[in-house]
Amino acid sequence: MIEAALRETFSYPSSAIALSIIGRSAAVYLCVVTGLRILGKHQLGQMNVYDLVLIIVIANAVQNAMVGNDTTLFGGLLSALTLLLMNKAVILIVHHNRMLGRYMIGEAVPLIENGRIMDTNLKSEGVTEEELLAALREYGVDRTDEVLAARLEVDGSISVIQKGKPGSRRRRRFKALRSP
Amino acid sequence: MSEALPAGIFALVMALRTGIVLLFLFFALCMLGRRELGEMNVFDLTTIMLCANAVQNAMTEGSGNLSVAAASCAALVVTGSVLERVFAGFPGLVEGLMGKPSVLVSSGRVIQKSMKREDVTMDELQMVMREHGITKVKDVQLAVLELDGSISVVPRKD
Repeated sequence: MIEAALRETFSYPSSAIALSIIGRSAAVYLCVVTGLRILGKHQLGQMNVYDLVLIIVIANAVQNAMVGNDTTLFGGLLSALTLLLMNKAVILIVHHNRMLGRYMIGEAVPLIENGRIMDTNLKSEGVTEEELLAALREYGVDRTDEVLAARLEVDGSISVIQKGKPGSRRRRRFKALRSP
Repeated sequence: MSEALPAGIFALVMALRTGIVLLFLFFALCMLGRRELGEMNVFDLTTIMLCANAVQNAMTEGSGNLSVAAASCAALVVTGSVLERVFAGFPGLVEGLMGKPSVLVSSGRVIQKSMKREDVTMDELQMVMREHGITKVKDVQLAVLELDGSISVVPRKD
């Protein structure tokens, strides 16, 4: 019985199934990532609760597509490994290819330029004026005309460069999810 | 195949598998570098969610058995705390596994070797600098890539 238990523990798929798991997981990863990019959800900072739920639910929906009918230990590990390696590959590509990086991850968007609020950008990025002013206050700035440049960075935080001197942030802000 | 084992042994086997899965994911994430951990973007979050689902059957073999679920959860908690104790007891392990914090900028000058080795782009460095209200590298006293993947910046004081 010990033998049966061990076999059950370290179960592995046949090489044909193993290959199909790798292929499936890779395909699922590419589809989900491309889908997210097309939907424009490449910036974590733009995400709200519903988007988070969307990602969780999508992951659950594709679960069986990733491993098929396989329920072995190594089958699952192989799937996870494939996903992690694909993600690593995407990150490396994004790092070494600036244009692709800009497409996948996006670029910093100016929200204030030389004291002037860029209303069209605020609108298109879904940033309210109140959020912008709150970000300014974190840098100890209370007037927009003191600002040389304020940008919505790709990780969702708002960076503020003050006129004249290099400022420093007074308070560390956690990259929280935006409210819906 | 699962019918051949009595329920208790089956649950234990699943607990063992769950522990193995957790250890595997933990080491895989460490090995793949700190990028996975810090400055997370949508793709990293998605990858992690997909991974969690991918290993579900590896942990439980699709069994809806309550005893399997209990054994699996217990295995996760136990493995987690064992890992914590081990790392608390052997600080050298953390270094061996995840390396040490890396200096990226020192006294206003970028250390290209570190940037290359840690795969940090100038874009990312400049983004973090801007988040500290700094535009020029020469205004940075110290910039370090921490173990958790975040980049901390100390501005020049003058």
